[in-house]
Amino acid sequence: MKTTWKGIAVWAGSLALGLAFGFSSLNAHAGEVVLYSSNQPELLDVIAQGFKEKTGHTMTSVRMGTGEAMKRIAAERANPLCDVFWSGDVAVLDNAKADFAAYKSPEAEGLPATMIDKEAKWIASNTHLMVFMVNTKLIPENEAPKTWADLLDPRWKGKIVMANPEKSGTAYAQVYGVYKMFGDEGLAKLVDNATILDSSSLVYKGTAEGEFALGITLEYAAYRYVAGGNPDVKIIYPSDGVISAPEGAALVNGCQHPAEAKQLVDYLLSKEVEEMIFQKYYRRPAREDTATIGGLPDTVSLNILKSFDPAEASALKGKILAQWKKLVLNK
Amino acid sequence: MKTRLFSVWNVVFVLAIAVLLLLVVYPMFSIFQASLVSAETGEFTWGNYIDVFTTRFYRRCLWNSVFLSGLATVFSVIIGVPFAFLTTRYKLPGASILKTLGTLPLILPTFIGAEAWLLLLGRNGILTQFFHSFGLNTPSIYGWQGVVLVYTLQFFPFVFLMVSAAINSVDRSLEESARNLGASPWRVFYTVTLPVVMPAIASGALIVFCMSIENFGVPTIIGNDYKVLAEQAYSEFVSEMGGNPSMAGALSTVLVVVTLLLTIIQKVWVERKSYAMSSLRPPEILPLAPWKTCLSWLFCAGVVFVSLAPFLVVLVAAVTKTSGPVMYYGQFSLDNLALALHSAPRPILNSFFLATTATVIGMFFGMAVSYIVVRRRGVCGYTLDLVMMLPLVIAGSVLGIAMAATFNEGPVILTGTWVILVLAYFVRKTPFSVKTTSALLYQIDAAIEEASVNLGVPPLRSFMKVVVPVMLPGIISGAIIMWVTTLAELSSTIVLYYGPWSTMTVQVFQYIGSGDFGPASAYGAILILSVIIPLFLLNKFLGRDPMQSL
Repeated sequence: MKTTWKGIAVWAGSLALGLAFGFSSLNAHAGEVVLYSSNQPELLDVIAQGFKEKTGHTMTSVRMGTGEAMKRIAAERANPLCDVFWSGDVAVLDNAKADFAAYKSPEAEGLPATMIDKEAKWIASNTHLMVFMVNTKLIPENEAPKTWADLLDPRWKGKIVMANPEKSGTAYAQVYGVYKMFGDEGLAKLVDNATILDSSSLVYKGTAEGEFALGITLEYAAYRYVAGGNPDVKIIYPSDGVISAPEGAALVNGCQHPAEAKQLVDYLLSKEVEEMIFQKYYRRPAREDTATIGGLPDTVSLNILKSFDPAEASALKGKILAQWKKLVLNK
Repeated sequence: MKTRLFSVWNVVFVLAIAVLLLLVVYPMFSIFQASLVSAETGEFTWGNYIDVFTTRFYRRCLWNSVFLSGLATVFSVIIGVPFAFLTTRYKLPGASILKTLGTLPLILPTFIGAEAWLLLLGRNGILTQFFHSFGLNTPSIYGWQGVVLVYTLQFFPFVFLMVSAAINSVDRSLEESARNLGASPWRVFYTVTLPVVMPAIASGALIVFCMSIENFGVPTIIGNDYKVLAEQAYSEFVSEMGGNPSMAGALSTVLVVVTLLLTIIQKVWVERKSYAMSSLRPPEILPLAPWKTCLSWLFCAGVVFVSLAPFLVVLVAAVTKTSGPVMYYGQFSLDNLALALHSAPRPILNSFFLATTATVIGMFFGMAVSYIVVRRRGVCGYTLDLVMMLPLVIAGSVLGIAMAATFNEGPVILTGTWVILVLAYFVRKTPFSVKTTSALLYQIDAAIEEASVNLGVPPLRSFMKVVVPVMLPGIISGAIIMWVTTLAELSSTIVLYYGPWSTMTVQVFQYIGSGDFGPASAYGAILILSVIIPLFLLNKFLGRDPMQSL
């Protein structure tokens, strides 16, 4: 009797353990610099390869959401396992500043002031422009709104969609931008006009499929459809202020490989990497000396909303969202 | 000898209860506890519940949830009951194939079904365009209509499976006597057949209702601003803007209370209405007039065809050329399958590893629990049965949230490891194994086993030698159902997985989220094939469809 059960237990146990070890070995490549990143795996592979060719150092990456990464980095404070975090909303990085070390990369020279933290605890690598994505089957391009002021006009009521700022960081950036331009009144008009969807992906998907006429969304998300060959999608950069929400890289405080980590930050901010990401993933570089792609306008030719301040955005978050929630619940 | 037998099973009983208390009851209790704490002040409050019932938004969500699930349940019954009767009681060409195909919607993750219907009936959908070319305007699929459509087509098999099992247990002599006493066929149906089958209809309907109300993937994809409770609980939890865990707890508790209440009502009602049947002679299969056969066949085949349309969409989309999110239908390409199989096979391996591990554990656990439930009736057996079946009425995302929050601290931290995924799957899917196994166990006379023990074979060995062989078909069916439904599981996975432990369903969900239906379909097609192939083989070698033993 005992042998039967023992046999089964040993068999099941060793099966589970064997598989587990098999898998954990897939996880842990022997490596030097450790990067936590919210970027897609294939991009991280390209970066690891390029960094190795350029510097000879090996880079290991762990992929997770920005919020999750901040929690992990905070939890590992006593014994940092991560050297560099790359590509998260700078407002989120700004909140987690205590866990980052100041590093003024030589690559950051010439960046606009809003693209680098005052203490250089984070540096922007790319930026998301908030655009109007229009489906020309539903609104002819020449009739589409060209400015935020136009978009807030009651005649667009029910025709525009946006993501929920209580759930999505980019949607909050849009709301904060509108607040900076038009104040509380702007928020009320926006809530009145827009259908609010639960995730940002529903905005660009639905607009591309012709379900919605106009979506407030990220430039790269809209441009993926243009580049993919969808003839109905047009992108409008509002001329009264393009909201620009930067994403950045940061060096972890007290990390184990500071020298290599600094080289990695330099590499991530370099012109070649930022241009490559622009070409492949349509994410606009933070630096302004890069070549643009496929008919997209140069950053310098756009009226970027100068008053957009990531630090203030995160400071005002509670107040603006409370106001927003009140407007939505009583809609 | 007798006392020893009990001591062995006592240990197993205590262990089983302890495992379930730790993995189900305790986390659910912590969720409830969290819902009574104010998010701002950290003090005790009923405020979250007051908010749920007084805010217009949440009240609307609650109503929407009940309305959607109720409507889906009604339609599932309308489709599932005739489907069961026609395929089980009457001679239809290809009835057994129709029955097997009719169970397949259960293995397709619902959000894939939703996305597929969107591609067919969305404003730019393939069918919409087709109808449009004839000047027909189809109504929008967005909103509650689409959600009800998807729920109905994906969940009606539950009603059909339960009802057809019940039909087979009706003894032929009952109906024959009624006929001999002069009752018309319709009168026999209403006064004899229907009352016997009624509890099965109620059980099937309850499952459909629970599955619908806990679902958040479908409303997220095609609900638009028609919001439901499960979606709100989920998004309060995963919000990147820092959600409100107390509110998530309150919403989850409300959901659980609704399903629990319905389950209790259904149980009480069924116990009053149920007729003990020992089917000595299952009902004979009747021929129908040709035109009736034709109509019935068209109905059944039509239901199967429509409910399997998403499979077709996924398989076609998996080999369609894509450029970013834009699909080029009609142009063949293996790029997306190559991406899934070659460049990023990890999620596929993860899915298989997690499902297999959970199934192996669940199989042994389910075996022991079934034995105790069947052999040791009374308080012990009843309690164990109740706790074991509890996860069936708890939404997957809610249980996931509860486990994530509970095992985030304390002596053993499991959140963020693969172990917690295995435990969640184990807890959620073992009830299936217990159901299929205990059904068979009821048929074994306890005397046979006692004889073995009395002849000097130790109790556990008697169990292995005498009982397990008889339970084996149930154990295998249970294991297959566990494995298959675990592979298709999204609701608990999405709140519990982290980085490298993403599964096929998570990949599909995320690719659908970013608008890339090509790669989503590639993973979806692999998922479908890896589920259908074992089902098909088992059907062939065991000579029966494992899904039908649910």
